[in-house]
Amino acid sequence: MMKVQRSNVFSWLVIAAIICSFTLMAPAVGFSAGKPIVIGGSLPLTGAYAETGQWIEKGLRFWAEEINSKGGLLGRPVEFKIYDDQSDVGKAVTFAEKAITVDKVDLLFGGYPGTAARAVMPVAEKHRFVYVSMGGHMKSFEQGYTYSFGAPPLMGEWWYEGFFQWLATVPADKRPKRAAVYTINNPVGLSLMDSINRWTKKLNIEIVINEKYNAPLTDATALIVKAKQSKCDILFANGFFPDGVTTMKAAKALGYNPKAIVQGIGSVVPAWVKELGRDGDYVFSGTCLSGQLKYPGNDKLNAYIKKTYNLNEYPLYFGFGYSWMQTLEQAVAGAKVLDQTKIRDWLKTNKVNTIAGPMTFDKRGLPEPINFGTQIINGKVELISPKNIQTKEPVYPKPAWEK
Amino acid sequence: MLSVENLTVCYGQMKALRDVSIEISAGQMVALIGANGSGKTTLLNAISGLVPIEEGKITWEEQSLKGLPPDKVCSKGIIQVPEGRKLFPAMTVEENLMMGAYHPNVRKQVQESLQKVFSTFPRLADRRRQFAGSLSGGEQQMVALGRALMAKPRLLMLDEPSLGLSPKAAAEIFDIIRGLNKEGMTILLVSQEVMQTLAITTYGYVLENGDLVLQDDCKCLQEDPKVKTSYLGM
Amino acid sequence: MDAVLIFQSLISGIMMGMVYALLGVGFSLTWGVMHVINISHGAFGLLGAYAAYSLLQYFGVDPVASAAMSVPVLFLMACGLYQLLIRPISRAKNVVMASMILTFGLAIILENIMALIWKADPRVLTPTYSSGALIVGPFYFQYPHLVGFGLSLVGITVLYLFLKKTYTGMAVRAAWQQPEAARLYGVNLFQISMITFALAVSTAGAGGICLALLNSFEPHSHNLWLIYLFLVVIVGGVGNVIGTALAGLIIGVITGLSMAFLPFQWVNLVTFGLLMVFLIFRPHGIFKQEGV
Repeated sequence: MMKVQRSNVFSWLVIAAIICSFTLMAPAVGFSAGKPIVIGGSLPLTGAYAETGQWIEKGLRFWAEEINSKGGLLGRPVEFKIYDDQSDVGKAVTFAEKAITVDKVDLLFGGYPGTAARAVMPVAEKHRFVYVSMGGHMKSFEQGYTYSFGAPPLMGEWWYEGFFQWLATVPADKRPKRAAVYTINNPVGLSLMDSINRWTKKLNIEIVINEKYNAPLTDATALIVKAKQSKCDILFANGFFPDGVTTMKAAKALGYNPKAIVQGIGSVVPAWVKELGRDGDYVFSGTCLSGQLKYPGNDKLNAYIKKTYNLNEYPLYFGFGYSWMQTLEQAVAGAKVLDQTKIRDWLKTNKVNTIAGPMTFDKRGLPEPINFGTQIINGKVELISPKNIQTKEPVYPKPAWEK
Repeated sequence: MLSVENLTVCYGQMKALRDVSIEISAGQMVALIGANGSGKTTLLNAISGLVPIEEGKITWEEQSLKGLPPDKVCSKGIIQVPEGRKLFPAMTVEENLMMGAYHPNVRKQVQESLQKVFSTFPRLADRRRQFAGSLSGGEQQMVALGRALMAKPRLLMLDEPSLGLSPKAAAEIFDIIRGLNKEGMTILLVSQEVMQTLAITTYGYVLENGDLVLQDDCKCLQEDPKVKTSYLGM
Repeated sequence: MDAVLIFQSLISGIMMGMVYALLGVGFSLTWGVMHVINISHGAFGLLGAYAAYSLLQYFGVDPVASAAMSVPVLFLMACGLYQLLIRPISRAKNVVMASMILTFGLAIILENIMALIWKADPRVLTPTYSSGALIVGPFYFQYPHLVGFGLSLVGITVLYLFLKKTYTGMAVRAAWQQPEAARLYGVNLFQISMITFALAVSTAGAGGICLALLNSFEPHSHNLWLIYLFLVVIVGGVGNVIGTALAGLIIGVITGLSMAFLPFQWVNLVTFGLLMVFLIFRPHGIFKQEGV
C-alpha cells in the first residue's frame, strides 16, 4: 500500500515537471507565438517626477509601436504593463516585485529617477531579470549586480566632462580662476562633485566656496552674495529645477555676472528654457543623449516628436525610454530567446547601437563614459563639446544680464 | 407671552426634561429653581434653540419656536445670559457689549445702547478697552448682563447670574435684575440662590431630575415645606 | 562677518517670511475658528499661482492684479466648497480629524486637476520685474521679494482690520472664542464659518501668487508649502493674525541669520528645529493670550 502511494506521488511529480518544462520551453519553441511579450515595471507617472516619467513612457510606447509595426520581437507583439509608482521609491520596488512574481512579465523596463532605478536593481538581480535603465550615478553600478545595464546611464560623475573638455581648450589666461560651488545635498547632486574636483585641479581653478544646501532652497540671496563678494568668476549650481531657478533669479537680481554659470541637472529639463526664457541662457551643462546627435534614429524620433508634440527636438527622457528599449530589443533579438541570463550574456559580449551611439558594456554594466557638453544659447540646448558633434560655438564669457 | 407645553428634551438616551410646562406673561419675573442637573439650563437652551426638542411645544406670542436656530430665536427678543457668563475672553468689554447688538434688528442702535449700558454699569465704561477675560467675576457678570441688554431683550433669561460671585456682588446683580423688571422687562431667572430668587420673583417653578414637581406663587413657595427642606435647608 | 551679507540675507529672509505669513494666516483662521485643519490650503494657494501664471502668459496680467482678482473668485468658489464639503462634517464627533482627512482628499483632487490643466512641468512666474532689484547703496531689494512682501503686508492688514473693525469680523472672533454665546446673540455659525473658510482660501490664493514670484512651482508643490503653513501657524499661534505675521518675521530673521552665519545645509535644520522648539515649549505660539 505504502509503496503504491509513493510511486503514485513520484509519477505526479514527473508529470508536473514535464508540464513545467513545457511552459518554460514554450517561448523558445514558439509554442505561443503571437501571444504578446509583456514588458513590465513602474514609472513615476504622478508626483514629483511625473513630467519626466510621462516622457519616458511616451518613449517606451513609441518604441513598441515601431517594433510592432515591423512584426514584433521574436515574431511576437510587445505590450507594456506600466504601473504608476507615484514618484515613490518604495512603490517602485514593490511594483518591480509584482511585475516579476505576480504578473510574470517577460521583460523589465527601466525606471526613473536614479534612486528608484538603484533600488530596483537588487530586485532584478534577485530574480535574474535584465534591467536596462539610466542608473542615476556611479554608486548604482558599483553594487556588483550583473543583470543591470545603463544604456545610456545618467552619470553625475560624468556630467561636466564635456564642459571641462571644452574649458581646457580655452586659453589659460581667459579661464575662470575662482569657483563658487553650491551643491544640493543628495546623492545625485553630490555625484557632480567628482568631475569638478578632478578638473578644477587640472585647470588650476581655485574652489573658493564649496557648500551644500538642502532642498527646498527657497531663497538663494545669501549664496549669490557670498559668491559675488568672493569674486568668484565661475558658478557651479549643482541642483535640480526649483533650486536652480531660485539661484538664477537671485544671480540676475543681484547683478552677479561670472564668466560662466554651470547648472547641473535642472537646466536639462525642457521647462528651464520655456519658463526662464532669456534668463536661462548661456548656462553650461552636460548630457549623455541629445536629439541633435547624428547617430541613426535621432532624426526619426525628432520627426515624430515634431509631428505629435510640435517640439523641435525630442525631450531627453523620451530618448532615454527609447534607448533603453533599443538596447533590450537588440539583446533579445541577439539571444533569440526570452531567457534572462542569455540576454544578459549577449549584452556583456556584444555591441548595441542606440540613439546615444554604439555601446559595449563592462562588468558593471556600463559603457565607456558618454558625455556631451551643452550650453543654452538663444533658448536652445546646443552641443558644444566634443568638437566633432558641436552644434554651436559656445558663448563665453557669459554676457551680462539683460536689464 | 411665552408658553412651554409638555416639553421633553433628550441627550442621547437620557431624558433631560420630561413633560415640562411653564408659562410667562409680559412684565412678569418668573423663577426657575432646582438642584444641579435638574434640567434648568436645558430648559433655557431648549427655548433658545441650542438643544433640539424631542416632544412638546414652545410658543412665543402665538408663534412656534420649535426648530428655530438660536440666531432666529434671538431676533425675536428672547435673550439668554448663559450660565458661567460665556463672555468672549479675548475681546474687549466694549466688543463684548457690541456683540450683544450683533443682530441686524438692534445693530443700528448700537451706540445708544452702549451709552445706556455704560450708564447702568459705570464701572464697565472705565474698563471698556480691557479684555473681558481679565475682569473680576462681578464685573464679568455685569458685562454678560450688559451684553444681553444690548440685544434689547423682550424676554431676558438669566442662568445662575450670581454663581461664583461674592455675596456683595451677588446682591448688586440681584438689585439690577429687580430694577430691570420694575422698568417692565419680562424675566426668567434661574438660580440656586433660592431664597434671594424667590424674594424678588412673583411666580416660581421647581424642577427635579427633569420633572416639574412644583409651581406656585413665590410667597407660597417660600412657605412650602418641601422647598424649605430641599432648598432652604430649614 | 560681513555686514552686506547679513543685511542682504535678513532682508530677503524677512520678505520671504511675510509671504509665508500671508499664505498661512487663513490656514490659522480656519483651524482656530472652525477647528478645520485645511490640508488643501496650500493647494488653493497653488491654484492662485497657476491662475496668475496663465493670466500673465495669455493676457499679460500682472501678478499683483491677479492677486487682487483671485480674491473674489476664490472667495465664491470656497463658499460653494464649504456648503458642499465642510459644512456636512461640522457635525462630526472629531471635526479636526474629519477635516484633515476630507481636505487631504481635496488637496489630491486639486493637485490632479492642476496637473491636468497645467501639466506636471515646473512653472515660473516671470513678470518683467521677476529678477530685478531696487539698488540702494550696497543693498539690493529684489523686486519679487518687495512685491511679495508688500502684497502680504496689505493682505494681512486688511484681514486684521476686517476682524477687528467690522461686525462680521467681530462675529468670526466671537464664534471662535465662545461659539455658544455667539449663537445666543444672533450669530449664524454656518454663515460665519463659510465666510471664514472663504476668506482663508482667498488669502491662500494671494499668498500662493506671492510665493510663486519667489520660487518655481509644480502641481505637487503645495505639499511643501503646507510645511511652511504649519511652521508659521505653530510659531504664531493658532487663529492669531498678528501672531502669524510676527511668526513670518521671526522665521525670516532666523532663516536670514542662519543663511548668513551657518553653512547652508544647516538652514532648514535650524528653521524646522524652531518648529520643534515651539511645539515642545510653546504649543500656543508666541502669545500667551488667545486672540486675533
